[in-house]
Order: sequence, then structure tokens, then C-alpha cells
Amino acid sequence: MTADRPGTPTPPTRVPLAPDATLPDRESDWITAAQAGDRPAFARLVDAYWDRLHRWLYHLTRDRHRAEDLTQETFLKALAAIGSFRPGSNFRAWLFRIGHNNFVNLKRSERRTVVALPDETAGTTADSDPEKVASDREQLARATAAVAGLPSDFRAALLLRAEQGMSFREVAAVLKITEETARWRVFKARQKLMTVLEPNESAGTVEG
Amino acid sequence: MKCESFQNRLLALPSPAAPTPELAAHLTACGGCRAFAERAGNLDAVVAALPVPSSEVAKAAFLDSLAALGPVIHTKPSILSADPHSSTFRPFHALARRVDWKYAGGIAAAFLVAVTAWTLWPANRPPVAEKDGPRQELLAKQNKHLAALASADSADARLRVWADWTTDLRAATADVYKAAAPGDLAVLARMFDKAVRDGVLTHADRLAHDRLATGRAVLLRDTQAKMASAREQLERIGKDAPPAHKSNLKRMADTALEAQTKLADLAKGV
Repeated sequence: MTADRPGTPTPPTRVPLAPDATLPDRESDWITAAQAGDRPAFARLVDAYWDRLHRWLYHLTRDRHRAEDLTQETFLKALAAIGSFRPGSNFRAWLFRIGHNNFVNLKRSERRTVVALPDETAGTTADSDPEKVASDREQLARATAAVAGLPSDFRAALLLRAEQGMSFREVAAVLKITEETARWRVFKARQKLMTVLEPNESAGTVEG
Repeated sequence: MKCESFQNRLLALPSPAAPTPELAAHLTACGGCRAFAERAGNLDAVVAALPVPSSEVAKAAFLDSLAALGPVIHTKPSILSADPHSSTFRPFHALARRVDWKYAGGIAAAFLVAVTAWTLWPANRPPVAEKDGPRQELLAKQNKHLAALASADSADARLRVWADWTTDLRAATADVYKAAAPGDLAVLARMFDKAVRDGVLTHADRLAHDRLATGRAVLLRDTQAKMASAREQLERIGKDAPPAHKSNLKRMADTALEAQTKLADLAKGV
């Protein structure tokens, strides 16, 4: 197993934050207001984070209804617990952590049920070029299947990094793991995807 | 640097699209790793571009339910923000209020788990168009009650919220008992049972022992009347319910009767 680890596993001394990890001033204001009971302020937070959270939960559950229910449940729990949020800390990581807890609870409750198949998606890509859509279709299907085939712990970490742009530190905070484990999971997920998505003809076309 | 080491280190970066100078130096000398780096550089973008169904309707419904609850929940009580020189400053009262708020969060979480269990109940699900109506309606009510519970800052307020929730559960049961799958009604019965025992009776007991609370007897009797009404309705619909539902309806009616009796005792003791 250790042979698969990156060549030099030493992490940088300071992990850079993702560009949007820093709270904008108005978001801090919304949080403060929401903590004081201002519901429209909380609604702004919902509006700002719903799509991102739903997107992540959809890829974790692979079911649109479960993802919607979990997203809603996450915001309701956030509403109930907003008073315990420490101002100045990372709201996004706090919110996603609630979402992950909900997902873990859901998985526990579904042990006896059949594993959900990937949901048919509505094809939300904005590209309207038929040729490009056609040419991308196969790669998209393979990528979707490959991501869905990752173990959920690894999928969760990769999506937080790749899709949400979170730093490894934030990923670790959301998943309640160490920063090094977060980096390891993202690495292993990428490694697996690189193998699965490797073009068939790549071996013969690489120069050098 | 060996190619395997290069590739592993590249994939371990925060962004494989931005290799370090050391890794970039290897790229100039190795065509195979250049191709690998190109694919790796696109990997996160491919993952981020995976299609996801729109959730705009659910989002809008959720925001609507928030808006429908009014502009302000309440001001979170805080010992630190209270003025100790104020004539109304009561530190223990403030502490109790703070603890209540935390407790409401825990109750709310349990509440959500129960509702989620029902919404995800897999047995014999009817077609989407038929199942989503009552489910969404109950979810909308649950949203309201959950928000109300989160903002309830006293035992009497929480008792009212729980009592209202049992009324909604009872009404939902009456709406679906003829057509629901047995599993769905069993879950509703469990939710009703939990709401009565862990919600109504727990908070009624606390209220009964809170000597500072006003109007305790009236509220306890009102809640008792709600339980009586619930029992009556559940017994009535149990008579013409499909055989598979009778046991669950009887269980709910028995729970309501038990609560009715306990509430009457509590009201007498106040």
C-alpha cells in the first residue's frame, strides 16, 4: 500500500486557502444577523450555498431526491444551530460538515437497502454545440461512472477539492480527518480516476 | 526524477494544473509525463463539470418556507450580552434560556431524522406524482415546526410546537390512511408516538414543574384536549381503515389516550 503514496509526502508548511474560502464582509454580516434571529439574512446564506452543497451531496448520494432532502435538512440543522457557530471561523466548512454528518447518518440508515444507482441527470451542461456535446458524451459518461465508483470517503474529499475548491485544510475540517489524510484521499481518488479515464491509445501516442 | 514519483507528486498537489518548478523541470525532459500532466491538469475541471440535476424548485420552496415564517426568529439569549446592572438581569434565567436553545437544536436534529426516515421509506412507494403530494406537504409543515422549535425559548412554547406537530401528523395520517402503504403508516405511527412521548409529554412535565411559568394549567388542559381529539379521530378512522392499517391506528390512538391521561394528572397537580 505504501508504495502507492506520493514520492515525497511532506506537505507544504502552509496550505493555501482557496480563493473563495475567505468570508466576504457581507457574509459575516449575514451570519451575525442570522445569529440574532434575522431570517432574511439566513435566507441569503441559503441562497449563496444551496447549489454548492446540493451539488456535492448529489455526487455523494447519486440520487436527486436524497440530495435535495439532505440539502434541506442541512440548512434546517444549520438554522437550529447557527447560534453555536463561532464568528470568524469558516462557515462553508461548518455547513458542509453538517451536510456530511447527515450523509453519514443516511448511509447508516440505508444499510439494509439496495445501493442507489446513479440517477439520471438533467444534463445541466450549458454547452449547446451538438458536435461538442456528442464528442464529450462518452468522456462525461466515463467520468461520471468513474467518480461514482470511488469509495464515498474518497469521493467526498475529491469533490470538496475539485468541485468546491476547498483547501486540504478545509477538506479535513469538513470530513473530520487530518489534513494529511485529506491530501491522501484526494491523491488516491485522482490516481484512480487517471487510471480509469486513461485513453486507450495513450500508450502508443506519447512522444519521447 | 522517476516518472512514477513525478506522477504521484503531481497528483498530490492542491492543483495538478499548477506543477511546482521542480516538477515542471521534469516535464521538459519527458514527453510521457507531459501527456500525463495534461490529463491530470484537466482532471479537477472534468470532475467539477459533471452534470447535476437542477434543484431550483426545492431551493425556492425552502426559501419560501423561510420567508413565510416572518422576518425575525428571536434574539438569541446570551449571558454575556445581558446587562448585569439592569433591574431585569437574572443570570440563572439567562443560563436556562441558553441551555434551552441548545436543547432545541438537539430536539430539532432528532425531529429531522424521524422525518427523513419517513421521506426515504422505500417500501411499496407509489408513483412519484402520487407520493410527492402528501410527502411534500408534510415536509413543508415539518419545516415550519422545526423553525418554530428552534426559536422556542420556553417550555410552554416548545410544548405548543410539539402539540401542533402531533396535530399535523394526525391530520397527515387521516389524509393517507386509506391509500398508504402499510410501511408508510407504520412510520407515521412511530413519528406520532415519538412526538407525543419525547415532545409533548416531556415538555408538559417540565412545564408542570416550572413554578415560574404562568398559565400552566390552561396550556396543559388545552394540550390534553388536543390529545383527546386525536384519540377520537384515530379511533374513528380506525374503524373503516384497511385491515393492514388497523394496528398502527390503534397504536396511535392508545398513545394519544395515554398522553391524555398523563396531561390530566399534570394539570391537576399544578
